Amino acid sequence: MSLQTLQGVWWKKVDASEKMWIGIALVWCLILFAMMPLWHLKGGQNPSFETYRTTPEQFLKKVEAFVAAGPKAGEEKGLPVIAPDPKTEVYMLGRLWQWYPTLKLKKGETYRLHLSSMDLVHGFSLFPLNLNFMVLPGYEYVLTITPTTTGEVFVVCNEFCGIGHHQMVGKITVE
Amino acid sequence: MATHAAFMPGEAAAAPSGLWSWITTVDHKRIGILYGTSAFIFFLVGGIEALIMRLQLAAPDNTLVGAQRFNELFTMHGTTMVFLAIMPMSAAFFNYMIPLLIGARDVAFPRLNALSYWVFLAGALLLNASFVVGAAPDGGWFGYATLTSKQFSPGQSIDFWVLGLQILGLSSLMAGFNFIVTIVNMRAPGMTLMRMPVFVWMSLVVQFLVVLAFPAITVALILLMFDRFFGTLFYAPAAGGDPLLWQHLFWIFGHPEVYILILPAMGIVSEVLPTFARKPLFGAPVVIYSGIMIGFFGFGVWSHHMFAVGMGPVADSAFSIATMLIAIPTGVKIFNWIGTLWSGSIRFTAALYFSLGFIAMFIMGGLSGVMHASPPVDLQQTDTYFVVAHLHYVLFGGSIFGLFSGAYYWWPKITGRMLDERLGTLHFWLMLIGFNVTFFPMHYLGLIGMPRRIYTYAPDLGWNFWNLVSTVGAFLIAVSFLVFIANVWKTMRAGAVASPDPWDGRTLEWAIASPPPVHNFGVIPTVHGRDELWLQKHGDGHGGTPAPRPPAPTRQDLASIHMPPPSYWPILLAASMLFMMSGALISIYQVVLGGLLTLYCMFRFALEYHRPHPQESLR
Repeated sequence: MSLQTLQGVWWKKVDASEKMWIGIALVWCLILFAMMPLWHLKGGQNPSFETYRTTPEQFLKKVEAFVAAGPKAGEEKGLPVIAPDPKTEVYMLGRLWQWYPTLKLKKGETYRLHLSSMDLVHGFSLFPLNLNFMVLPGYEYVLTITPTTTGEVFVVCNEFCGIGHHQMVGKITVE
Repeated sequence: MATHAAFMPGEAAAAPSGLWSWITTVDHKRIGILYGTSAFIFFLVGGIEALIMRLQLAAPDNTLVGAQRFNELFTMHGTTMVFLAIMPMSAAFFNYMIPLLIGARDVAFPRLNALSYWVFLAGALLLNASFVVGAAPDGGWFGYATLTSKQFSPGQSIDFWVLGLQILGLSSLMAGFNFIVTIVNMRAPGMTLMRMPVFVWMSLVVQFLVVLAFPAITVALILLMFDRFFGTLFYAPAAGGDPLLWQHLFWIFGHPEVYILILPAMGIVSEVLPTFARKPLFGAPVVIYSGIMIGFFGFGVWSHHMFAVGMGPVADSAFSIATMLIAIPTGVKIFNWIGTLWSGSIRFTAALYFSLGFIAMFIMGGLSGVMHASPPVDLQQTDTYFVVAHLHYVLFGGSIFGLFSGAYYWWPKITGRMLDERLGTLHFWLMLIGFNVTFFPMHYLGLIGMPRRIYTYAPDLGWNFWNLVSTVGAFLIAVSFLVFIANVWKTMRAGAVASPDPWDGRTLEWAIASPPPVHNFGVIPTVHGRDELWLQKHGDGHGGTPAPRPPAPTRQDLASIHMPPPSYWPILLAASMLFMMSGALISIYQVVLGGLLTLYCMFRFALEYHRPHPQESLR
């Protein structure tokens, strides 16, 4: 590609060590690329991305039916605490500026957690576990979750949603 | 430089002066200075916004500013730094340097160039006017639907943002077309595409990115404008609209935009390193191809900003792999820069320090970028301070270091004065240390779960100490810029006068006086290779004879130069456009009146005709 003709022998043969390094880099690239499907299929690291279209009204009805069905385990900061039976459908919605309702789950049991938003884009992140998931209005997300530790996990909204963003903290208790 | 005796300093002093000459100027050099000055002022404004935010976050449960003011601050900080600081600072170098680097007397459309600047200034003023009327945008620089809808943002704050960005987009598009035509058509004889300096190449890639990416955000903003002003429901989920549409449209603009911000800095570094290592750029064609590849891939990765919205594993994997692929041409460039420095005869000037800072900081930002290119990792990092750390490592550690490298490198050419090297070095070290103290702890804060865009936090979360450290660092950065301002102040009054070629440069701009005369080149040079001036001075390094220098211009040459005459239509057109757009916030009558005025100015602009003045000769 040179536009000037270079004079004399200006190049060197590719050294064996250079070939070796290129080979190592190539293998490492392939390993990195292979890790992507492995993470997903074997590691179970990615969410399942089970997603449905919905509308805020439809989802609100489902959540209210879920809260009404209970069983209710008390009330906290004005929000009902629901302790659903294991292996059932569990609902939680984000709206200005709360996660509704508060949940009480059992360790080692599997739940199907349905998420959606009533108004803005919210971020479902579990503190201190560092799982993040964006919750958009009009979409119903299903996360299959199995709590492995007991204690209180806070649902921190991590997608900017206006003036009450920093207060939008929900709670999931695992016992 | 005897052959250029006719263009020693003093020649340029004959250029017209006074406020009116600046307002009506179509000279690419003056427009470049206007761009650079405005961008630096907005950079300081954005920096002050950042300092207030850092003060607010220095301690838990702080009440320096409220939630509303904090939301306005981070929205305007992001918008200002991207659209009003880094982009126009790059535009300053495009304007000033591209014609000099390709051996042209001006850009292809000088009046359009002036229009770009004035339209940019109009948009910038409209955006910042929102502070004056107490309705500063508060929806984030990314403006995610549905927060920007009339329902959730009833005031005029988002309107300011939408209209301001539309005006700024117009300015960028005009500049984009202008520079594409300039670079393709106005190169000096002999300057084939592969002989173009790498900065010009990167600028060309950036202009194509601008021209292809800005329509996407223009469409997104028009839909949003319709939602807000006329009650359409493009982004309203209750009525079947889709807030996800905004995210796709925004990021298919937003990711190329990232490369619009970084590629000019990469180009500058590719000019600075060879000059101060006194070696040609290592593998220059490969650096150019890498830049083109980065620009090309830049359009295929937008959804990596949206891994957490649930697009499904196939889409996530595809965008993840495309994102990781971009690391390859970027890595190639970094190795080429290091290869350029390798066994070079290095002179440590402030410009070189900033370039080295660029390489080191950009590597760190690039590495954290590859980390969240992987969706499982991204799901832990997205919307945390880790991302804040990453983006500042590439945009501040990358773009700003690169742009200031360019400022120190070309300052003598632009002003005719040398900057103080000791103060420049002090600026560099303060900025480098301050930058790392500010942003490195944010990686850690993000990984322990601190979300972005919260105006305060509880004291028992373990975030207190590193937030305080980060605030201290931010003030260190502020001090470093005070040093820069002091340096400029001092040397403008009593700095050493710059020779035409103070760095023993390689490219054509160093062949002419500092600052260059209005017409740049008395005789348009003929180009014999990449690094033309170096070939003229030192030959090709293989024992060949040096390339011939262009002959000294004769009186006849000088008399036959025709430079575009000044025009006041660019600023009038921009002003009437601002009048029309701001009417959307005030009254429909103002929109109509402004629209008519804009049309009138457009016609006058288009039909402006200049009879060559019989006495018109070179000033």
